[in-house]
Amino acid sequence: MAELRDTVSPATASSGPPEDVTALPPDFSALYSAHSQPIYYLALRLLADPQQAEDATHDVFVKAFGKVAEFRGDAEIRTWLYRITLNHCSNLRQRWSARNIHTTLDEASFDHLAGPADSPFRLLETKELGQRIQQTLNSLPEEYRLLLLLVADEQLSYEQVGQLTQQTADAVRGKLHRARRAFAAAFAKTA
Amino acid sequence: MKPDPILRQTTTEKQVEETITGETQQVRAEQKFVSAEELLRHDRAQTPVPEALAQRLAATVGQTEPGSPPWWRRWL
Repeated sequence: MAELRDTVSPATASSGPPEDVTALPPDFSALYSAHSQPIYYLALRLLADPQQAEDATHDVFVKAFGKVAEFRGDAEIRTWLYRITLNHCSNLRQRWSARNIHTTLDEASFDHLAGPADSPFRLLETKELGQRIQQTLNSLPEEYRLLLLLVADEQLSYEQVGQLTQQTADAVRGKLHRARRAFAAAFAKTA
Repeated sequence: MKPDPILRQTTTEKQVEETITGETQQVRAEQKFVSAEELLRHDRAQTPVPEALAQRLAATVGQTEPGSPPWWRRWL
């Protein structure tokens, strides 16, 4: 069974400089600004690897670049991006499992991702919370992990979460309650 | 979506150094979250997209022509 590398949030949003999206085409820049963070975060927490999450986010937006004219609204774009991300991450995880890769926590990988403006205390705080959340999510059944990460996005309705996870909105509501309890129990163990 | 208030516990302990009258004090602040989703939203907000990604993406899409509209759209 593959054990994925535990990871953390690499830095705090408030301390890092704003991302430069001026090099992107204007329409695409707006799409990237609106959706890149939730997409990156979903990939990060599913893959538990910042570099893999960056690669996945890159690939998802390259696919979106060719489709940007076809979308009818932000909600549709977000759902489509999530679907591509879920498929991409699922394929990656299956490949890892097949190769039975065993990786361990690499402290150095956290250090180079921290922005220069981060104070040591803030970095420690971010590392601790990110590690605990990643550890918690890794311990949950995949279905619970997915539900919680998707429902945490306030832009998604239960119906859209159901579409993404191939079930009804009622099923989402029912499983969500159990997922929350499982998360709370697992999170408490990481303290 | 309304969060289910089942997760009532301290999730982070923030250590803040404050210098008061020349002395350094350790202040521990707590943040509480009422649900798993709220905690995940907080975590997401603290997780910026890597700065290099936009530049990397710009380089990639700069070599790629945006997709032409589907054939059926030309007839509408």
